[in-house]
Amino acid sequence: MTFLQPLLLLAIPLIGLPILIHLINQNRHRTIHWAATMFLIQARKMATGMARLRYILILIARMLTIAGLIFAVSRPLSGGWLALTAGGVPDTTIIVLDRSVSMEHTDQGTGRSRRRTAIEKLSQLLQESASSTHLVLIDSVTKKPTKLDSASDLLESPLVQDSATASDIPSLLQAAADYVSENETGRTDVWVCSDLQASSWDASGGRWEALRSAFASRQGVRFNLLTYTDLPKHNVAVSLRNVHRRATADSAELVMDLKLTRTGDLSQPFRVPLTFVINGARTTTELEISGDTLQRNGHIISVDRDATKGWGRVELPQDGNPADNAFTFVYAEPDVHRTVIVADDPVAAEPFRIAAATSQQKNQNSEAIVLAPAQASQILWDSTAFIVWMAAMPDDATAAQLKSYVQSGRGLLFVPVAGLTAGEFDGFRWNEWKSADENSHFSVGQWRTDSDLLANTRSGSPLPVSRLQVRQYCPLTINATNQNQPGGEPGTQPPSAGTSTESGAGAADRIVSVLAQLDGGIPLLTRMSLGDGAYYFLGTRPEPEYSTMLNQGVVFYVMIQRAIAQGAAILGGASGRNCGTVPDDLMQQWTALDPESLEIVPSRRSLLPGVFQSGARQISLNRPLTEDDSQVVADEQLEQMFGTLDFVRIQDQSGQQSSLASEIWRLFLGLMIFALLAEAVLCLPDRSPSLAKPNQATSL
Amino acid sequence: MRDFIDPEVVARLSAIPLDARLPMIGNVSGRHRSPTRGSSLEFSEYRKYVPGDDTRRLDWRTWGRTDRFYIREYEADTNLRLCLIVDVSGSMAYCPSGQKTGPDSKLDYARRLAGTLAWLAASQGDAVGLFCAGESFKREIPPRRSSTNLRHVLDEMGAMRAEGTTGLPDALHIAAEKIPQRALVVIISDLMMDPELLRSGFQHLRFRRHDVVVFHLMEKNEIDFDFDRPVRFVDLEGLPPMLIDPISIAKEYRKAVQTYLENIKTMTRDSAVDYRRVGLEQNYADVLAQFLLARKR
Repeated sequence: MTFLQPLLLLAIPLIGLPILIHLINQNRHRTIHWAATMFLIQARKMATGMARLRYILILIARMLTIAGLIFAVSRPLSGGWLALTAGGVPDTTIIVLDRSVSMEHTDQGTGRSRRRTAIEKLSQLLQESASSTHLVLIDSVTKKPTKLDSASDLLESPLVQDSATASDIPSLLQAAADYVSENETGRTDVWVCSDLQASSWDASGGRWEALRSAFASRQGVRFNLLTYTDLPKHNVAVSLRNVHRRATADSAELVMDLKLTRTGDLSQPFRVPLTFVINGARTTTELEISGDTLQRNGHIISVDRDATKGWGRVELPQDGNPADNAFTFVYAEPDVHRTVIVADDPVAAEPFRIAAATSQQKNQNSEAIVLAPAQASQILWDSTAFIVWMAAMPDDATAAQLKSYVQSGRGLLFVPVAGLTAGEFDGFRWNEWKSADENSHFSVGQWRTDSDLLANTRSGSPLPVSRLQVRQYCPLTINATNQNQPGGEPGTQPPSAGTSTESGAGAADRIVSVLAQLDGGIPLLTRMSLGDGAYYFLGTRPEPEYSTMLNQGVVFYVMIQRAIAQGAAILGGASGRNCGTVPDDLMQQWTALDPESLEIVPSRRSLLPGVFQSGARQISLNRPLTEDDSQVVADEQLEQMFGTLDFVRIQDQSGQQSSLASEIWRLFLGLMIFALLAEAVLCLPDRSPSLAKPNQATSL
Repeated sequence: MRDFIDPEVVARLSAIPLDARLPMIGNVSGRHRSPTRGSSLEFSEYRKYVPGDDTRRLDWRTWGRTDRFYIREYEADTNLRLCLIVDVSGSMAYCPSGQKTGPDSKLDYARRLAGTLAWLAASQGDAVGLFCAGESFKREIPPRRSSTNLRHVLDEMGAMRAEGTTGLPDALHIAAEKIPQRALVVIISDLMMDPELLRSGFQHLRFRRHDVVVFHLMEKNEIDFDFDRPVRFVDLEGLPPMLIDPISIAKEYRKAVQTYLENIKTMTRDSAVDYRRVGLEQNYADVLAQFLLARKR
């Protein structure tokens, strides 16, 4: 319970005043020489039980009276969750806000979404109870702590607006932990507003242990989980995958995989009117969904034969979640995914060439060429999606070109070469190779499963990274201008997998992440972000004498294809991206293709679904498909995730009007009055008429 | 006069005679009825003459009318024996102030009542005796008419001290045996005991044809128990002290007192005893006046 005047609670010991007075009274008795002792003895025998109980009740009533008065003047706050918090106003209040699509489930009666309900209630609570606390907002889009001047700013802040993004609660909590650690906050309340969507919380991920450790080392951090897990009465979500144009003999058609996901009452089949808008032309068709999912692969819609590129969207009528009722797409002629491998030894480059040239999809053209370092100038910078550099570090001119290439959003992978460890790139340099003992190897200890090249598959299954065996590795160091060394140098501690550190000048754009590390904390795959892209350092080679990457080819192939896909997404004529994955400043330069996208303010283009164009390139932005998953974290999982951390879960519903906290001094005043009345009743004297009047009282 | 006898009160009350409800047997003639026939002026009855009767008492007029001898009889007036039994147990030392000793104790009140009654009885020529009932029969002065005896009685009254436990039930039996002829027995006590213990004593006195009067002295606080703070009650008859919060037991106390008073009243009614409950806050002159008027023939 929170109090607006907590200092007055110092008077709580006064509750014992009646007992003290009782004891003083006992000692301040007077002595009477008494004749009618026989009545006293009889009365005590009769009154032993009830009188004692009555007296105890009187004492309790008096104590309650004082307690009620003290609590009433202390102006307690509470709501539907009495005893929600304790200990007064925290020094810092961190609000972790889930702005994902699933938080847009809306109550039909009030029109308020889960996100809006949470923000309004939290704002009201903080205005009433914790106006003096330092407010920090960490939203799931920016993932950065933002200080707020007052709780009322919560309602106005653009950082609490809706978005079609996914959320990653562990990374938000990691940001909160970093903030707490860096700012040495005192007592801190962390409010997590979320719908406990399983994909957002990543209950099985390895980051929770680190989070628990980080928060457990801080005193006075308490979590309040404001959760919204009520399922909407009716909601259908639509999504499309693999949209591509196919030319036929006399026309053309769009082929797509259509998926409808339903939540709510699943007992009856439901007919859904689907509206397709393709290049502005609307057509409506009805589909019947029974059960929770309708998957229609190869759904075909005819298009103009001359329209080799275009855009479209599919729409559903309004239902429980307006944010999942539309899905956009763009289409164009397939691009070539071009990869360049710069290597002195073409044989060593062959595994990379094969992995890069083998496309995942039938209609995708991929090509990979091998160039010598001296031919680096022949690289087609504007059409290359991915570069593998397995030679000596590039000279300054080439390095500058490579940096520019990376900054445009594409990928670059450095692979060490034996005997060619001289030189450096952007402050990074290879060291001498190190080998495992004979008949032994290094194993991969940790790797990042949430994002980037080694992330889990879409189904949530991890890549078999742990099966890799490394026999030789090449340590990586950063020169003196960089503050962190990924590892390898004596006396330095490499960052662990899943952690990020800022490095050197311009640190805002240069974030070193270790994506995988060998046992003992030796980095195996290191990522350095630069602009919109990133370059990677692979600490070993795929050949059998170095590692089992080729034998365990899945990890190697997926890693290469993901890096190519990232670059191709930048280069392709038509690409689909998840909301929140395209930089804001880049999106602001694009123009909207459809009227709905045109209504989106430029600053929010990267967060909401839409179709856009820049030159010959088109892009469609949509919500991540993981947001259609209605599975929530179970209570047991929640207990395990937070472990021994101090947390309280508050289950709320979207649109619910009741406030999180309200002044309840009236309750205590009522209690005080009730206790006073009870005390008065218990103390009522015996109303029987006086017996002292003699039976005869006549006078002369 | 002693200090416990107020001349003004005596002067006020001397106009009201002290009468017995029952015929008394005295030594000399007086103003009280006697169970025997006597020579007073008040006609009682006729009876047939039997040899040996005093012929002077023959009613010659009746003989003339009926030719039969009848003896004319008159009521016998005799004096009264007033036996005062005063309880001098420790409980009679109770003062309304709660002090161990004080000028307004029950014993002082009893002293005023008994002393005034003795003076009034002696004034109308009746015999006065005194019995002090403590743990045992402490002091007894048989009823006599002499002024010396009255002085003796009053001296003894002045010297009475309240102490020890009560022995009133036994004292009543002893008094019943020791008072030889019919008498007006006035008992002044707080009767702090089980009423059933007194029943046999009262019945014994009534069996001896005594006219029994009980002045039951109680103080207002003893009945209403009107205290609001914890009190340490020290028993005047030697029981261990008790520290009590009066509020917690007041109801039960009053209930016990009520039951006790009802039992006393029932017992005295059953025993044909003239029971008078007297509050210490009452003026004793009023109490005596009420008593005398109720008995006036």
